[in-house]
Amino acid sequence: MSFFKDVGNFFSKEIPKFVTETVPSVFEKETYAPDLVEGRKEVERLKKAVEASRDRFFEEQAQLAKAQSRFENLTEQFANAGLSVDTSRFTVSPSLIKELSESQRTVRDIMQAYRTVTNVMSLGLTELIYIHADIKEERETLKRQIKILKGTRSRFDQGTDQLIRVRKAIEAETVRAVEALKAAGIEDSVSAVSELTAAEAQVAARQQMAARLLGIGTEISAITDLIGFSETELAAIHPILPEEETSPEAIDRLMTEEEKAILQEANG
Amino acid sequence: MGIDFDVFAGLKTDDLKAELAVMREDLMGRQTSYAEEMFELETAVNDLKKMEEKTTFVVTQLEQIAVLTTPPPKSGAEEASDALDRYFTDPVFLASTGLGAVGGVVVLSKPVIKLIGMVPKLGKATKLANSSKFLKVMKLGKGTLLLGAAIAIVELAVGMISSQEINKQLRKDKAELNRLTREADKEIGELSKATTQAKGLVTSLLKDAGLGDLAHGQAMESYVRMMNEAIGALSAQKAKVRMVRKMVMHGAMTAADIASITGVDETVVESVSQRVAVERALVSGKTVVEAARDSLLDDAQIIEIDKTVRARNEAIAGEPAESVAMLLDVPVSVVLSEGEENLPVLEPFWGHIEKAENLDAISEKVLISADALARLSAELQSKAALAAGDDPAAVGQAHGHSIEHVGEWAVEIADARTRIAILKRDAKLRKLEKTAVQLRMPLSIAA
Repeated sequence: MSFFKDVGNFFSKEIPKFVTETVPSVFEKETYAPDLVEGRKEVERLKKAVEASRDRFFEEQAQLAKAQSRFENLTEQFANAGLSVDTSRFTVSPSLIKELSESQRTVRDIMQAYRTVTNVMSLGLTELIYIHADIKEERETLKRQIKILKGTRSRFDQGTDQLIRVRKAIEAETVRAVEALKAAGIEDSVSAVSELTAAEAQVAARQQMAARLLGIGTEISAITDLIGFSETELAAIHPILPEEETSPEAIDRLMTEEEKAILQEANG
Repeated sequence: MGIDFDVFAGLKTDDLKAELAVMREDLMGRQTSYAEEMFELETAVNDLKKMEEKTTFVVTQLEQIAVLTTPPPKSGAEEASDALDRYFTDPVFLASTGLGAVGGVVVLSKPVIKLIGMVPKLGKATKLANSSKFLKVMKLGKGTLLLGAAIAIVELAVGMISSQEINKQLRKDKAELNRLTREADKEIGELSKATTQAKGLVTSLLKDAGLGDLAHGQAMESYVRMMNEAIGALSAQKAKVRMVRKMVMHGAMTAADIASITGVDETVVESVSQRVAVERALVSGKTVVEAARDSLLDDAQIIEIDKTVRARNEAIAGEPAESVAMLLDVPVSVVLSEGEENLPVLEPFWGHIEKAENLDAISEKVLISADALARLSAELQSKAALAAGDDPAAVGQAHGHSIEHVGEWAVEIADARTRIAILKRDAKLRKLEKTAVQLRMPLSIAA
């Protein structure tokens, strides 16, 4: 104890706390000011309420971060994948971006304010208020604490409401993005871009092969059987009529130089 | 690390306040670094998840292409057994050697192949990222709260008038302060360990991909683009080699024609032809030894082909992919793709299969065993009986299935009927057989 020299005999000035609350005594100030008991209870209740509000706020912050990264993951990967999906519907509205940055400021402000008010919260400091010898002094302290705690709680609650609002907006954007994907026939999954890349590459390869088959005069029905495209799909890819499919123009359009050479060789 | 209170002993008020101010700065600094660390961890975990998804997808493509061509040949007894042991278990081997046997198929760059080798490492990372400890740390940011509380205590003391008061307050809160800092330090330690681990893994992966010199964001973008390109290239190859297989099975075209139409090397066509011949022998009931004798391949290669043939048979017969994969020691992705790719092949024969007609002839044509087709036939007949209103218990007994299993079919039938009704309403039901095959239902339901 040697390092707390300054503390000295300070404790002797305190009013000894040896009587329980349930038995009013002439030695206790509570006997003369029963409102103090109520006030202390109110402070304790509010502290718990603030803690609950604070935890909700933190929880919501995590939820918002999750919603945000989900949206970003969903949109960003499609926007950069060079696919045939229309990504214009994935852009976030400027108002939402504004709301997001405002919510970030709110989080910062609340954290700042929270640090300055935690001195009235249950952090091992609760006894502090009981050492007021003076009834009037304690009454004022309690009043002040109640005011601060109420203010803190409502700040947390308002902050939480704001975060929820922003999260709901982001989630709505996410739903819109997912619907845009669905409209394009894409399932919303972590591997959606990979699946789509694979599918588009396969279709392109099949189109290439179909074009080659068309180019060498293969019957449409044989191509649809082999490639698996329907006749309409085939016509949509390469609107070539059977009678012109072996025309020099068609061959020129559809085949590579190497293939043309092979064809020429095959035709003698 | 607790707070050293000895420094406060005997200090004058102003000195004490200065000390406390330093302590406050220290705590706040820790809080900030904690928040930054959290952000970095989240980013790293997100990156790892992205990387793992891409790489796993590439490996899936590789596995699916591998089963279309002939497995690597023997070049020494030990080597061959080693090679085939690694056929599915070692993706790098698959990419560099397994497919290398058929020139022109592999289109992967060296960095990509290197990255494929990271799959087990990535899997471990994802597991780590999803562990409850990580999620807890990342969710609540407990360390921030602990430090916030410690800072509040210090601030309270700073605001006091005399050194006497400050010391008294700190003495009261000493234990609490020490507990808070200790716990926060522990949290920070865990977090920082996790972050270092995750970030290190991301960095080493990017370095392996040859992207180590780029800024992180750019490197990640390049990584994803590189993998997307690999996925695209492999998928195109898969489509081509599948077409080669179709044409080879059809049997009316020369290898040169097939190669020129599909745009692959003739060696690929030869490799596929060799495999198709072996599959034909196996499906017709020949043993591995017999098939090996008739082909130029060794037993180990035939066994590897046999695995896929069996996987295909089981998939078509309706067995769950996971258990088939485990039983035959082939990747689930292979069982799934074999089922998905080969069911549509049965479209022209669906009515016959349901009636169990000409199963041997169909088997020869589609390279699926007659037994598997018979099991599919039984399933279709059971479903038809159920749909016609037969007692589930009786249907189950007739075909050796539990009532529960039959109950699942009943649900599928109801679902299939709804889908068909929707198709009919929208005038989209064009080819009865196609819909029936897609739904795995007897023709009577689709009608």
